[in-house]
Order: sequence, then structure tokens, then C-alpha cells
Amino acid sequence: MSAGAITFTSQPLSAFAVIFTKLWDFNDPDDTGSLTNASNLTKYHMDSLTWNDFGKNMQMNTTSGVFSLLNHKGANNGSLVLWMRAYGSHARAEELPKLLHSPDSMEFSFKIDKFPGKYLASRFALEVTVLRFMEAAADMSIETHKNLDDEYTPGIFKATHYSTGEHNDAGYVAWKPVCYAGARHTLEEDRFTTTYGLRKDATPALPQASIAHAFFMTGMKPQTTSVNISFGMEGDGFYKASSYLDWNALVGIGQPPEDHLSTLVISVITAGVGLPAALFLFGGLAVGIKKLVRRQQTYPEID
Amino acid sequence: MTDNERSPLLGDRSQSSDQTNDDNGMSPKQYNLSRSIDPSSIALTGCANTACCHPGKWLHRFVILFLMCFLGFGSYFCYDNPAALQDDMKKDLRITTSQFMSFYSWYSWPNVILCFFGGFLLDSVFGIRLGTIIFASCVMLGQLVFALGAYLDALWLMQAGRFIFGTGGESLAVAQNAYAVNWFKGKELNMVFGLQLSFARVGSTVNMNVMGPVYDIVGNFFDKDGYQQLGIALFFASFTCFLSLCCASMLGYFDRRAKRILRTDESKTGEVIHLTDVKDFGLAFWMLCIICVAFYVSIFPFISLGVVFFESKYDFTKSQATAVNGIVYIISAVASPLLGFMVDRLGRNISFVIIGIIVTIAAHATLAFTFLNPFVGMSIMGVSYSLLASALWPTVAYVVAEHQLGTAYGIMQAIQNLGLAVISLVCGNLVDNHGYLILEVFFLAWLCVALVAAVILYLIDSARGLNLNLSARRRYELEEEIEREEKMKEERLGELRVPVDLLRPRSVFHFRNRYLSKVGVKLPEHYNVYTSALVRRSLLQ
Repeated sequence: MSAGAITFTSQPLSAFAVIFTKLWDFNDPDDTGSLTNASNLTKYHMDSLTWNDFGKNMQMNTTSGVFSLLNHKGANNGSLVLWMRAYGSHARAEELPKLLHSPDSMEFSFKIDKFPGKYLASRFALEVTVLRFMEAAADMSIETHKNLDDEYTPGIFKATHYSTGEHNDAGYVAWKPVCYAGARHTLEEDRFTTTYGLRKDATPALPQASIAHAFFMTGMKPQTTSVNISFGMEGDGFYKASSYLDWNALVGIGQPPEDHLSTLVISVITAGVGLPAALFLFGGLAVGIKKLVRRQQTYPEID
Repeated sequence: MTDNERSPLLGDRSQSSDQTNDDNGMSPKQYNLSRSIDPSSIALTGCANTACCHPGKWLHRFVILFLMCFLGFGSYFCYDNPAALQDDMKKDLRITTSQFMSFYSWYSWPNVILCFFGGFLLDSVFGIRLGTIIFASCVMLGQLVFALGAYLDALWLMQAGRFIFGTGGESLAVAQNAYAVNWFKGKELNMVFGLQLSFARVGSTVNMNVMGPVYDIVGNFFDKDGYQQLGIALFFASFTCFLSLCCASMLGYFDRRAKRILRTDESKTGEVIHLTDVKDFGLAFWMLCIICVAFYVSIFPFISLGVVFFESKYDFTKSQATAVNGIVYIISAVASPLLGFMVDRLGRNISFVIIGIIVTIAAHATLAFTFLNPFVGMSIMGVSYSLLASALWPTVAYVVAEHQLGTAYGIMQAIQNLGLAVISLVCGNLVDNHGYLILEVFFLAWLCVALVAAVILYLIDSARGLNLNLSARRRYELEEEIEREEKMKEERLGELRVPVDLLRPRSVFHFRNRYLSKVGVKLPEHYNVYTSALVRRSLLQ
């Protein structure tokens, strides 16, 4: 689509777009899991791959849809899938990593299923570009938030927030630094993801056939940053161990949702602290009263 | 009821006064005569007469002490092998956390039954020398089967190995204790127990810090990967068990030789278990059992799961995580004897139990709800764990009559092992499905159960006047007072020549001692076997 194909009648106050621009296939012979130590690199531009018709796969009742790879040389149909769903309510996903949704967010999942890796020690990484147009200029940042609540993703105490600012008009991409090497998302299948530094793009090269290109390239000067996320960690047998990778994240407006302690935890702690304290208080009172009464009832000395 | 509960204070004196009173001067004189020979003055020929080889001389006993300490080293080193290698095990064997915790669960199951029979097996069935060698062999065999199971990637074989390992582990501690009591007397005994404890805890800490590097070196040297690397690393760990087996054999040889030279009997544990005694135990004892179980299930499974917790939450490397995990053990090696000494001097056991539980709650809360360096939380936990162990186990002696102490300790240990066996599996499950925060909350809930039981115990003590929470000085004064009363009664009844305690029921233990003294059997001079059982548990639990 050409620039300026999408316009609004009046200038929007803020706009924000997330684009998955590139898929990296890198060779990791030293088994470090890190993109920076890769010995070889292959780049796939996502817009140059052929995708199915989103409109045909869209499901209105669950407000979800799928982008699925078509006819790429050496790869099956559907070996790369981008699935997204707008939940429209405050809810928590059923499956690990059990991300928390809000009406202002959408969950998407990026899946690599038997897409051929070129190298012996192939691993994959994804480049995510975020564009922002806002009146109030604040820095885009990528932050790791520590959270002591790992009830929903056992063993993961961090969440990564890639946000476009502090205020309510800002947008975010938020994820837990975990991906899965199996469809069932069991604990043995989890692998860490690594996020690399934010890169500011002065002259963003947006894919031509994208809504972002159509909307943003009209004289608005959007700020663009990109980040790479690699999947897999040291000692996991590389991508070829299962030929499957699955990563979930949230895209939304406002601030990313934080996990809070569930009511179970709070009630157990209250009971645990309250019960001994109450017992000590009332028990101590009862014993003290008993002793007092007993002292009053002793017979006076005869002698 | 009150009389029974007071009698533990009097146990010692009632025996000794009987021995000097009743026997018309016959056997006590003989008894005293044989006791007055100094073992080190017996003359031997040849190299047996040197300081190093003479059973009576201190240097030889020092060698024996060294062997005794290393006897338990292998068992403690290998017990925590899974904890030190948790992430490698989970990755190489592709097991879940609950399958991993089954290694600990299977260790505890045999001990639910065996802690009743350990003393009996060592005294009556095998004899202590053969028994020690058998149990040390069980330990080594168990660890070898465990290593083989890892090498072959067979989970069931590894669990069988841990089961075999468990049958030997706890009973070996009983044997170690019996050897200590028989070779060292009086004030030396405290030092010996302290040293045994330190070796045990050092063994655990060394395991935590060393097994990771051993695993890596094995991987590089043998060029193996995965479960085979794990199997070989565990095989190397079994060398410590081989060391313990050698110590057991040498101890058996030296013990037999010493008894032959000094003409004494084979060492005994002296623990007597009668399960029918259970009906006599009051609510106070059951509260102590609950405290024991609830507290230990929130410490040991946590250390088993600690390494991956520290790696996940605090981003520690494996070596940092294992170092922090071992802190509880190394601190308790130092703090246990010191705090034991303090509790001995100050008394007030129940107050210290309550303090210990509250401090452990604080430590767990720090680890659960903050990102504070876990070094702090674990150090606090080490101190509070030592405090509770020093305060809890002696309290049993105040609650239960002396002749029932063996049974009481046996039951407490059985329930503790049962709790550990079950809860280990539950913990593994919790981590897999609900994460570490829920696990910590689970431990906090158990600690609160322990706290409730401790508070109830305190209230029972205040309400019924059981004198469990006396300060040491007050306890001493009370003992003096009772002794004075006894003396006065004795003087008044003196002309009747009736033993003063005819009116108080006497125990089987008491009758047996009197019979043995009359018959002329020499009783060891430090013959209060329940002290030894108590000390072993308070230091090594």
C-alpha cells in the first residue's frame, strides 16, 4: 500500500503500531543461546514470505485470526504461524504462560513448527519493530520487571515490557521471557527467551505492504525502535530437538497488566499469621484468668 | 500424671541411691573396684603398647574419633546429591520436579519403620560391629544403584537405589552414636558429638559446592553428555560411601580388639522400644510431634528445591545458587553446639522453640516476598533451625518418663520421616503446577501449624504446671528441693529400713539395673543411655 492510503480527518493524538519485521535463523555452535555470538545468520523478511488470507481464517465468535505461511521453499504450509486474539475482558489465558488480559489488549502467539533451520545448531530470533506517534514525547523503553509472584508461570519471576511511554495513551508489548518447545506447554518444554538492546531507527524501513506504512508515512514523524528476541537457551538441544517453538505476548494500550497475589495466597497468609496470634492472645488470657481465680480461692493460712 | 511427668527429673538419683543402699555392700564394692582400673595402665606387648595402638591411650582414641566422624560423612554427602545437581538431573533425565523429589521421598520411607528397629538390630540381631558394616554397605550399595540408574536413564532403578540408601543412612547414625558413647565418657562426649555433627554438616556443604564442578569435569574428561555424565558423576560421589565403609570396617576391628584387651562387653545402643508405651503419652508429647513434623517439612524439602529457586528468582549462576543453598548446613555446624550450650544454660525450652519457629517464618517470608539477597534469609534460617533442634529434642525428656524415652524418640522420628516422605512429593508437585511462591506459602502454612502447636504446648504447660518451660536455674532449684525432701523422708523413715521410694512406682529399667548390680554385672559408668539418644537427635536432626 502506498503512503497516505489511510488517513483520518483530524490528526490523531497518538498512534502506535507493532510490526514483526524479520525472522533470524542463526547458527549457535558454542551453545550459548545468544544471538550476539552467532557464527552465521540468515534473515527472512516477513513481508517477503507468502501468507494466507487473514480474512478467510478469521473467527468472529472468538475474535481471533491467524496468519499462516504458504508455500515457502522447503517449508510446509503453516510452518510459521502468527495467531492473535482480542479477548475483550479482564481474564487470564488458560494455557501457560497464562498472560493476564484486559479489554485494551490482544494476545498473539508466534509459532515455528518444522520450519527448516539452515544450520547444524540453528536457533531462531524475531525482530519486533514498534512505531509511535505521540504528542508528548517520551522515550520508548524495554524493561524487565521483577515480580515475586510466579503462580501463573512457575519458575519465571520476570516480565519484559516494551512500552512507548508512561501515560495512558501509550502502547506496549509485554511478554514473559519464556517460550515453549512443545505444543502442550508443559514445564519440561519451557525455554528462556533473550531480549537484546533497543535499537532506534532514524529512518525506519517499513514494509511496503503494511498498514503501518500506509498510515504513518504521511508526514507524521513516528518514532521507531526495534528489538530482537531470540528463543532457546544453553543446553536445550537447539531448535532441532523438537523443531517446534511457541512464544506468546500481549499487545495493548495503556500500561501492561501486573500480576497480583491471588486471593488464595492472601487468605492463607492471613490465617497463618492470625491464628497463632489469636490463640496466644486468648489462650494467654484464659490461663491468666484461671491463675488469678485460683489464687483467690486458696485457703487462708491456719497458723 | 503429674508424678510421672516429674519423675524424669529424679531418674538419676533414684537409681544411684538404690545402688549404694540396698545391696549390703556386696556388688557396689566389686563394681567400684573394676571401675577403678585405668584402661591406659594395662600393659601390652610389642607395638600394641605404643600410644597409637593402645586402646586406653588418648592417641588411639583420637584415631577412633577420626574414623567415627568419617563414618557418617559418606551418608550425608550423598543424601543431598540430588539437590546439588537438580537442574542437571531434571534436564538429563527429563523429569518433572515431583519425580525429582521422589528421590528424597524414597529415602524417608524405610526410615518410618527402621527408626524403631535400628537400635534393636544393632544390639540384638547383628551386634554393633557387624551392624555398622552392614548399614555402611547399604549406603554404598544404594548410591551405586542410584548412579547405575542414572547411567542407564532408568528412573525406577534410581528410586530403588535411594530406598536402599535410606535403609542404611539413619541406622548408621544410631551406630555412630553408640560407638561414641562407648569410647568417650563424660565431658569428652559433648566434644565428640559436636565434632560428629560438624563433620556431618561439612559433608553436606562440601557436596553442595563440589558436585556441580565434578559433573562438569566428568563431562569434559569422559566426553559424555546427558544422563551418562550424570551417572558417572554420581559414581564418583559413591567413593565417599566407600570411605565410610572402610571406616566402618576399621572401627569394627579396633572395637573388637579394644574390648578383648580391656575385657569389656560389646558396645550397645541401649535403646528400648515398647510401642505399648504410646498410650501413656500425653497431649504435650503429641504437640511436640506436630512441631517436629511441621517444622522439618518446611526446611529439608526447601533445601532440596533451593538451587533452581535461587537460579530462577535471583538470576544466580549454578555455583552461587549451590553456595547459598549450603549456607544453612554450614551455619548449623557452628551454631548447633553453641546454641545447644545456650539452651542448656538458660533452660526455657518452649520459649526457644517458639522463637525458633517465628524466626524461620521471618526467613521464609523474606525469601518469598522480597528480592533481598537470599544469603540473608538462608543465614537466618540456619540459625533458627539450629536453635529449634537444640531446644526441641531435650524437651521430650521432660515430657515423657525416662523408661519410655526410647519409644518416644522412635515415634517422633517415624512421624517426621513419614511427613518428609509425603510432603516431598507434594512440594515437587506444587513447584511444577503452581510455582515457587505457592511453595513458600505452603511452607509458611506448615510453620504456622508448628507455631500453633508450640503455643498450645506453652499453654498446656502453664495451665497444668508441667514445668517444661523452666529456666535452667529454676529447674536446678526444683531438683535440689525435691532431693532435700527425699532426704528428709529418708531420715524419718530410717528406722524402718524401708526404701524411700517404695511408695512410688518403679520402672522396668530400674528393676533391671538393680538386678544386674546384685548379680555383679559391671554397668558402664556413664550409663544413662537416654542421654546419648537425646544428644544424637538434637545435634544431628
